[in-house]
Amino acid sequence: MKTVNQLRKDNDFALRGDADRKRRVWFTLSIAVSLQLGISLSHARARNLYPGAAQDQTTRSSDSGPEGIQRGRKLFDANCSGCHGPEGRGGSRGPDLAGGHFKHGDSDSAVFATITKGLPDTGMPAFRLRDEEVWDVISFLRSRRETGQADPLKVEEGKNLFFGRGNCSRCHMVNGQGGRLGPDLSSTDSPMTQNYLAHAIRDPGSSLPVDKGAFAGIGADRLKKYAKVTLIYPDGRRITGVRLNEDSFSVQLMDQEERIHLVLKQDVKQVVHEHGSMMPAYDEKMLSDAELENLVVFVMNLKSK
Amino acid sequence: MIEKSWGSIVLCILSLGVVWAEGNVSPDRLVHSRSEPENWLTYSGTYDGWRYSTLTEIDVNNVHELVLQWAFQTGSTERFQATPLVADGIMYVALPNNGAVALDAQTGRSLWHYARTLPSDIPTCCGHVSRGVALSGNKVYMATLDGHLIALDSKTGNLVFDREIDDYRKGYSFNLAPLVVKNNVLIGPSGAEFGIRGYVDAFDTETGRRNWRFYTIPARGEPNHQTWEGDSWIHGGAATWLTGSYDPELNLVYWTTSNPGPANFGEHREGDNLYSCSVVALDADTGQLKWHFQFTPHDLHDWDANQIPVLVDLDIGGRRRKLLLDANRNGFFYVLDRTTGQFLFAKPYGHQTWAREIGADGRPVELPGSRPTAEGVDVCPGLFGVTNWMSPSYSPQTELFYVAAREECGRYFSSDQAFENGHYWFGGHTTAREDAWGALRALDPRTGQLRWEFRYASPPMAGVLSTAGALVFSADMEGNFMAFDARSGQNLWHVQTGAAIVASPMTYSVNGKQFVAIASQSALFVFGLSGGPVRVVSGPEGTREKKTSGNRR
Repeated sequence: MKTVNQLRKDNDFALRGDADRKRRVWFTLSIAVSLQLGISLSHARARNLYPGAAQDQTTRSSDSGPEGIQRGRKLFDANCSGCHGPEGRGGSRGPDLAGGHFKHGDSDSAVFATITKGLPDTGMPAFRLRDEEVWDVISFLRSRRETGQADPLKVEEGKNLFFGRGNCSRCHMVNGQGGRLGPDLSSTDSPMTQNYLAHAIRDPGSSLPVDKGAFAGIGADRLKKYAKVTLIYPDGRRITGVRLNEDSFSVQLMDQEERIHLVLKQDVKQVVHEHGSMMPAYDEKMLSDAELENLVVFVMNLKSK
Repeated sequence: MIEKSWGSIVLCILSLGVVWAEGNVSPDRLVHSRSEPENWLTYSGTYDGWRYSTLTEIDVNNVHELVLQWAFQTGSTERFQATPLVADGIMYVALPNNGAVALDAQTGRSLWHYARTLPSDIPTCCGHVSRGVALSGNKVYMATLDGHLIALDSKTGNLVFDREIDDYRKGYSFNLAPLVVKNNVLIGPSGAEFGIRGYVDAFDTETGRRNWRFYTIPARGEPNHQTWEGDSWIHGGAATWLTGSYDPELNLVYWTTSNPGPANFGEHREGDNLYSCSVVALDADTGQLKWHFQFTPHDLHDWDANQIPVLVDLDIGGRRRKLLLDANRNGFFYVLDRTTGQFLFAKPYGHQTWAREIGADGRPVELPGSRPTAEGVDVCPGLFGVTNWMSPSYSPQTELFYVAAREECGRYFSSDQAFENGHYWFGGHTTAREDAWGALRALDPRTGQLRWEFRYASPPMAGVLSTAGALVFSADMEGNFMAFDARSGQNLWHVQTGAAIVASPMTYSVNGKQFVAIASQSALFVFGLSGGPVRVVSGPEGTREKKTSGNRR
């Protein structure tokens, strides 16, 4: 049997991966460290994050400290990640839970009920866990969210970059303003962590897919989002864009002018699945580390609303 | 087949539709089900597991004219995995949450509906699904998620008996279509991920009493018990959650088993873990084990061997042999002698990185670095294998074996997890790689060689149907239901059903009009050639004339 420390080490394997990912983790850690030094974020205790928590009828039977979170992670891996993804960021069978948005109620008691009673006809089963285990899972979920008070100056600088020199709004929309080629960064459906965001801005071409839990494989929606695709027509014409959907017979994409193309594969000569992203990589010449930090703070601050 | 006494009564009645025929499904009808292609009396169509129909009305020349004839909506968003059965103009469908309906197979109108209240705390890995019902005599059988076997009256849906078989709280749950063999209804539980001990049970079709049980994990003192270290056999898994096949001449039932538990961690269950990841041949009358063959000894990748055994007689090595074809989850296509279980050969039919080959003794030659580790190791195929429970098909017309193949690798993690009743017990977890795809493949069963493939955008979970119209039907996770030329793989027809398809198609006919059915999410879609229902009008001296209501057939 393993010691508690060994088990804790085991739990960290959800964060590790192959050598490439390790390198990227170190890369982003170095950015994250400098971000952390600058950003005055505090990891609030989960209990204080939600206004509804004060009115909870259900009483926690275990505390939500680091040990509870680690236990919760292990339970989450074993029971939940198959549908909700290894970091709770969503699989095809289960929605994202890491962003703090719980469709069926985000209070402690609501999440407790969802886990223990399930949601009939949605595919979410009832889980037979002890009360303290459920609370550990909830602690783990709460810990996935990073929030806190953001420096308003950095938010303002970031916003100026986003809509100005950074040109992010060319492709990204926030709160209804901006472009359509990339994901809506104010959407609660696809929340991100600071590390992921910083890395995605510096190196969007590297694949940072959320490793989907295995049981996601038997849901629909398997295709990678925002894949870059080029259509080659019989007359030689080429159109490159972001794929909206694809199957054996058709492909739907949005080109860089935000025109939607609805195409039958029988009408094109070839469909090329490109490597990399439509998003350019913002290196230090384009965006200094300080500017990157401001941008990240701005985007993360959107999500805490 | 309508017996003579009923036949004359039917023919005397003037009607514009189908008269309710007897619908009594005898053991003899089941043995000879291939001779009544207008019906689909058992899960795979016939006992040999071919999922093949001799109907020819729909063929390569007219399949592109298929149109929707009717749809039935279940009202549930649980996965719809069922194969409908048809007997004498009535279709029987198992619904999610263990409901069931009987429909007029020509129009889709329901005749009766059975609903079941399930407990809210059923531990189940994969949804409140049922892959189908079974028919015998005048009864419809369903095995339920809460561990029961029920029989319904086929004319009314009234409950005839309801027997509790096992405790669902311990993970024993039934989601398979039962198999009726003579006077027995055969079922087996799922739940290896909850540490059950698997079995195949045979219940009397009339009384529901158990006639025999075969445990897929031998107890102390029984042969092969020593392939389990210590007490690991008690929660060893080897679940039996997919319908088997049957050879009436040999009187052998072929059933397949799931992985040993815990799936990804083997250090407390050293040994081959028989009869997990195997096919077992059981005497149909006694349940006695005649032979077994294990595809993946001491499995660590959750590669359940619950695939349909396909029984074909072919010339191999210069003589006619009774074969069992198995496209296994572990990525190899196996050919065995189904009389003795002798291993003949195996060949990969999809990408796999875990074995150099299957040796002459039928055992895999494992490649180093394929076992799960705490840090995670990349292996192909992934958790769901190169194929899974979805039905393959064999066509005697093309002599090809058709299988839905998944090209998806996985990263496997192991961890030492203690068993706890009712809790998921994997001993690790697996993630799926995003660069996955799939294909419908046609294999030459004599060699395992690929004859053709049709590529899908993602790994499929739907089964295959082949017909004497030289057609193959299958479906993808993007919702397309498709027909292909069975000889070349050319796609001849497709329709978008609007949701991922995780069921296997079937076909039947009513008054000479052929229908093809597929379940997709919350609807059953039934297609046929245009022209409306066929009218049967009685003529002089018991003859019948067919008139269509439309201008075209």
